[in-house]
Amino acid sequence: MTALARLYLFVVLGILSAPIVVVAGVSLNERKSLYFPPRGISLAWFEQLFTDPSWRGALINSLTIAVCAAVVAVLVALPLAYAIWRYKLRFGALLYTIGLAPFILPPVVSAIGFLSFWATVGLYGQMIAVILSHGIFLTTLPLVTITLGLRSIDPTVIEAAETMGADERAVARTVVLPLIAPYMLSGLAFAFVLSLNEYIIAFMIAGFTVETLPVKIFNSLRYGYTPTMGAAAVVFVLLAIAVFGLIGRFGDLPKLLGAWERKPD
Amino acid sequence: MTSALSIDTVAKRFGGVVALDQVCLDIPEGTFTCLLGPSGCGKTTLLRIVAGLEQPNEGRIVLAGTDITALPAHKRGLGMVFQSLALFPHLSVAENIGYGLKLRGVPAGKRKAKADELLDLVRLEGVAGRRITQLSGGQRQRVAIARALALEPKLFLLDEPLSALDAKLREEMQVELKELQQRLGVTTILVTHDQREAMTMGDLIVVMDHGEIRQVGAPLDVYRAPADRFVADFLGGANLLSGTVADDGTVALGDTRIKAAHANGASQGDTVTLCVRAEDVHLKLGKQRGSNRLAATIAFVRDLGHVIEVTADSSHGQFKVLVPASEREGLGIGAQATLHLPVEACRVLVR
Amino acid sequence: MSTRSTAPGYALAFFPTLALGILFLVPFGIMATISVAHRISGGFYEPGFTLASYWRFVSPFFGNILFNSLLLSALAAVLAVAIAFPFTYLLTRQPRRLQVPILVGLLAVLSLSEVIVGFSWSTLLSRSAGISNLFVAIGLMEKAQSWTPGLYAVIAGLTYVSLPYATMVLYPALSRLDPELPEAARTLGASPLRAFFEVIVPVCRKAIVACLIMAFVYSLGSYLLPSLLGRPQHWTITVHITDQAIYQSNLPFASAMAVFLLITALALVGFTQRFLGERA
Repeated sequence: MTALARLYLFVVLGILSAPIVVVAGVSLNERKSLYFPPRGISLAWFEQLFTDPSWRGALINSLTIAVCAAVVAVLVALPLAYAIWRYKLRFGALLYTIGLAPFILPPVVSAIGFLSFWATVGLYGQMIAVILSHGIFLTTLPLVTITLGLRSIDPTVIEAAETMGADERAVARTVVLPLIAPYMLSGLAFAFVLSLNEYIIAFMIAGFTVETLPVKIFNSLRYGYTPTMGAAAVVFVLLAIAVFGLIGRFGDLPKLLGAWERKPD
Repeated sequence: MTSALSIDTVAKRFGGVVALDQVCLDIPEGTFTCLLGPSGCGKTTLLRIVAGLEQPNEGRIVLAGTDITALPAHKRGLGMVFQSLALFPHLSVAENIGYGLKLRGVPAGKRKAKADELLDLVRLEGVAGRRITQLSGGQRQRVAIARALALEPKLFLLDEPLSALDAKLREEMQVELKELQQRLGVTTILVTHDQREAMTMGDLIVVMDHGEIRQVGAPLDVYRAPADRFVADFLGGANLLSGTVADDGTVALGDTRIKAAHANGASQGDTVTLCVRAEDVHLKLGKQRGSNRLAATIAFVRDLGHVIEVTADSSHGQFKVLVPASEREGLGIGAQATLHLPVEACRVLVR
Repeated sequence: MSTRSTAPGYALAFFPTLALGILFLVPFGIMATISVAHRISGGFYEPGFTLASYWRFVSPFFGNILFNSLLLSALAAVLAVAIAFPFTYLLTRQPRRLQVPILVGLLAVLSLSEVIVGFSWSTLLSRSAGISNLFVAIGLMEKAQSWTPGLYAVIAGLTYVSLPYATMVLYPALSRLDPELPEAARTLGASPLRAFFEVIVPVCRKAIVACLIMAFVYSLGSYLLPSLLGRPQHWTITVHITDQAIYQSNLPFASAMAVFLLITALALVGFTQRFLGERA
């Protein structure tokens, strides 16, 4: 690795982290103004995030929606991925593509779709509508990770279980589920973090009734910038790093992201 | 002996490809049978059909008098060792071995005792609590064998289980497996493409090619008396020469006539293969006259330690000859020699 | 395995398929219906069939917006891939213990809400807390100044959000690249830089084109950055869709634009999958 190559890596990493560094600095300002580097160090804005009813409410809304949506996403993805893999369904490839589509299309298209749907059904503005929309929108992530997990199972392991007396149900319960559990958790985590950060769908479906943290930040931007937004951003970045860091620590992150399986050391 | 397993005119096609073509085979109780053949000959498909992992298009599988053709794999109660071993990576050694027992509701204490007993049987102690990833290749092998025997199966199936091991360990395991099978007396079927492995372990060798059984017999019978050119060739070490049966019953290789003790019912004018094993050919330096003798030139000499393998060119084709190590002197490339094919060592193969 | 019936498979797949069908495909159907509905001024819409929304959309005014929008996204995609390709290549050559933390960071930035990115960039480019203060400090500039809102700010923001995305799209192809390929070029006398441009880039050209298209679709979908960092003339089609749907209450027009965006994205992604996909 030449020095030039290493320098390039660090410059890009620097650019990627620059806005976050600035926001983190801004969130530490002592007074209610944005300065970078911060003038005076204070954690008051973090405190406000957790104590001020409107910020706190938005944070709780975001977390509730993200947890529920991630569970919905896994509940949709798991049986679909399992059925496509285990039974080699004739329309498997098509179903898989439909499962991938929400995440690949521009989110605003899905947002308008969801908006018209919930308006028609009469659940416009409800939290449940946001949860279900996020669940469907993000189902792509557990679908991809679980499918990856299923495909990495040695098929003779399943056959071995069969020769020892395991029927369909026992195979699923004692072999497949334990083996894909880490992939399922990764999918859940990905969906959770992305739901937490999702703006446009949450805004269109319930932007004025169920304020999530990103919606709250955006709505507040119109009345001027406050360091609390910086504090919220920092909390979100740390949360994302914690979740992905856990996957990276206990799982095989390069493989999840598409590298070949790790060679046995 | 009674038949432990009957394979009754079983056929299997994958799309348009015929994997098994009306195969019939009876396997006696307590024997060690080796399905031997090149890759793609259908031996693994046959084993998988016996295990219930594959369904035949035609025919029946009869286990101890019961037709089990329609029975799914998980109800057959057979023990199988897979080529990849297929050990459960999420379970410990003892949990792997106890897996089938757990499905049958055997309590934990008994499972533990059984796992220890089996680990003892395969000479693998003190690893019950380990994870599969912490074991060496040979240890994994033994765990897979122990797991397949845990349910005390009526039939023990092995699909090239030793192919991943290095040569030395493989030979040790062959002997050990054979001893284990003899001790337990369990009817065993092993799939292999290695004729030495089949010779080492099998009571019965089944040679297969292109979805058909070419020959069934005891190892030495198959080796000594191959049924056809394919079997002789696959078992190795045979010189195979094409010729025609002459009016005096000898085999004519061009203008040379070779007398063969085993005519196998060939009649005059038939195109046949003359088969003579490398260790049966006598090689003498210089020219010699006499019947069943061919003039040849030494083309290559390979020292194998206990024996010397000489490649000699004759006007009727190339011969491989095994010469005792004590007769090394004078065997140089280009030397003239005479090959003597003893009458009793010559076999005529019709196919 | 051939004995197994697929009936339980269809039973299992039924619920997820139903969920995707009702919550994903039906909404698009409704959206398409609304796009041809009659708009009632100042209110909502009533069912019907009119192509008025589509006609308005191809008017010179919106045609211009559309063109600008596509141009902005394309520019951001090209910049992002140009930066991301060498970056991802170098990343995949790093030892695993270094790759994992960088991947964690990339995922964190990628998942970061656009609101936060927009807020960060407007802060970064602002006068009081921006990067110009840094330049003043090291003597490059005389006075701190604000660079937002503006066209360059929008381009910078779009490039920034597309960068980790492009990296993730390139990562599988590049990490599976045979490491002996550049080594072979080196033994034949190519300098590292030459080996990169003459061996690695051509070998990965399919992945690069696929990544360009995906990054383009991705930046087309950005809503907040153009509206936070740009002036109204820099607004992209996504911003207009949201504006029409929420602030102008013109759902038929928003739907018509969304249908157009949907078809464009589907065509581009479909093309990528069909002709540039690595494996089935």
